Amino acid sequence: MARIIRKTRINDKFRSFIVGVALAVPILYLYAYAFLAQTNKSIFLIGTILAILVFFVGALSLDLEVGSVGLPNFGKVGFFALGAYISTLLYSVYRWPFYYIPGIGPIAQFIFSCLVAIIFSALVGYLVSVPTVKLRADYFAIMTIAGGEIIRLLLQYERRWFWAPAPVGPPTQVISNRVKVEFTGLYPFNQTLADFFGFTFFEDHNLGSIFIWQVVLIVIFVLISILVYWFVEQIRKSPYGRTLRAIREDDITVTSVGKDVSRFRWQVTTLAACIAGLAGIMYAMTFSAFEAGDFRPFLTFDLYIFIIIGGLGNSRGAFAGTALVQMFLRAAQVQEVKENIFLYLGKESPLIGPLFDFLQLDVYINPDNMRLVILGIILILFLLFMPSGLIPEPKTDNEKYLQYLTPEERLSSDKAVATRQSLTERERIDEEDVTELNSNI
Amino acid sequence: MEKQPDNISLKAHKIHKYFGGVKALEGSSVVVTKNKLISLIGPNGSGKTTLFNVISCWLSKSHPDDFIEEPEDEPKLQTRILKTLKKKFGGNEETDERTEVGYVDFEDLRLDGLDAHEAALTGMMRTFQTTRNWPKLTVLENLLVAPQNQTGESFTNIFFKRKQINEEERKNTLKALEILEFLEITHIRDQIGEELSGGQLKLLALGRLLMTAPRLILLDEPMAGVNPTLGNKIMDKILELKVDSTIFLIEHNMDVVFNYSDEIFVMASGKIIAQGTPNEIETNKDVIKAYLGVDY
Repeated sequence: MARIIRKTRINDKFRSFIVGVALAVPILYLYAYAFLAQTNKSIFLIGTILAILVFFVGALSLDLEVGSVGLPNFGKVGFFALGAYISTLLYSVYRWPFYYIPGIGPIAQFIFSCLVAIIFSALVGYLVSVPTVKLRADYFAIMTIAGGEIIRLLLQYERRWFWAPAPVGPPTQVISNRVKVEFTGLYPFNQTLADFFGFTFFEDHNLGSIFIWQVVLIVIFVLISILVYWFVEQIRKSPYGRTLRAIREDDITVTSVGKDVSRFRWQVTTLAACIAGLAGIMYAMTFSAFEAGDFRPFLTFDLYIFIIIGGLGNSRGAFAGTALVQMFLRAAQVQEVKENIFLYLGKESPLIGPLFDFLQLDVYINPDNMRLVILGIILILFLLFMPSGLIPEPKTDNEKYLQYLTPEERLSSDKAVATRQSLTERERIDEEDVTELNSNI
Repeated sequence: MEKQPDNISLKAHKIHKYFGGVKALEGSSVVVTKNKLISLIGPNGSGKTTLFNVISCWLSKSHPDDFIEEPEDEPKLQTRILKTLKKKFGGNEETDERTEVGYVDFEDLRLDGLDAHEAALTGMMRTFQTTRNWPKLTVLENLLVAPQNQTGESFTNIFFKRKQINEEERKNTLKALEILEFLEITHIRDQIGEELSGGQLKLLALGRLLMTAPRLILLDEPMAGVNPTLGNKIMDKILELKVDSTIFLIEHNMDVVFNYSDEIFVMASGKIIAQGTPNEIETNKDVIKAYLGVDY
């Protein structure tokens, strides 16, 4: 019996590996193609890395809710928008209260605006959670999708507060984040690696040049991602996370042993809103200019694709999914990929030519115009055949708890388990009653 | 509230529960004595589980006067409106006439208006008719989730009280292993919930409840759907629990009920129709009528 279980487990791993390779090879090929076609390769690479990190933090926030507690939050994008808008408006538009203090002004203002954005996201997350956490999963999804849209529409139509005042004319809807522009102008951030360190690897290989601010930005983003990852993992490993998983499986039993399910739910919703706000700040810094229209529910669905492909309830899976899909999306948008990798369906193609001629169709299919179709197909295939994703949630394991025991206690427990496992079912049910049972039959 | 006698564990007095036009409970009262095994029997649909749900605060009880009667000769809506208006503006004499509301006392605590999880924290635990578990958690974890007020369940403690959490986890693990041994299901320690059989799930539900060291245990059909031998084993374990806690049991297996119970309550259509020792119940005419019909 144990051997069979072990065998299927290896097969599962092998299958994930095969599927992972089958998914990664075409995407990496596409990405390499796009990369080599670029004139400034380093900018393309850095853009991809930053986007992956931004959406990784967002995916972690979503995975904490969907994967750990089973709350399908479809309004995640609203918290993205809050983080991005509040941090940008405070820093780049209102510049209140620290900005004009000489010396440390801009830095203090930046930190202040980030903190306000995160706290405000958490507050809104709490407010959204209060009426919704007692709902069933499907109604929770409907409520949150409405909540996210309300936030977006507020940002879109409330011109007095959320639109950027222009030097001339009416305020504009597009908000530009000045953080990157202002900090990258400073010495030594505006130096290239070649100028400052004499590190000419990128120039030698004709990859363009990398500025110090780009490296610093990547380092900061990586640190933030690692911090959030560590944070989420700590929660998952703790007794708190164990109760969260129990709530995901059956909340009625959790209530029946005396735990306040709604407390756990609102805490997680608030925390996830915090993390999403942080991801929003990173989003604003990476993409510099954005408007309310960028925060449509599609962005939430993108995050869902990342975590479903990667594996629900698993932070590493979230990273794998985000990296693969982001690389695909980035590569598909490159002009050379669109022009050179395509499938022509029309009157000149073999076999189906006459049909397409009759239909008067001339279709060029390329990775860019098919990207949503491709992602949709991948998503459906995953949901049907590998619902646990590329890197499944780690199987729960008693090792974590048995390690607390002393070696003797551990040994005696293991021995007791082995002894009872060696009995047959009939012997287990009742050693003494066997005779009586036989006589009854 | 007057002081309860010390030997009373649970007292539910005149509980009413209406589901729309259905009277599920009509003034049922039960008194459960400490360290006894008390059974609640009755035909299907007689309101046993509803009574359990009200006692353990999963359902709120109804006011006795809130039942909406629908006389045939009057239009439905009009009656309702009149009744509501009367209740609101009927004056003092009307409210004085309202029937006394029932209550549930557990030891010295009135349980009215508590949430289900708060009621569970008082030391009164229940199981469900359909066994529930956490299918993706191991059996050991299923037990470890149960202890109440764990340090590691507060969000900030995860980061600041690690040592205390580890100590508590060790203590709970030892207790869980002890309970597995007591229930004789040590061999499924490493299996996950969804791999278990029905009988093992029943035992696991019992174990989960023991992790919280309850003083009163409400068991809703612990032997339903289990083969008789395993059922007897479950019953043996339940009897062993009588030393530390009181047991209030719903069961359809009459052999078990009449052999092991200290006292039996019989319910029929929302009312307690009889109570007494097994011998008294066996010869009670009302009980026979409720179970087998009038002309038997």
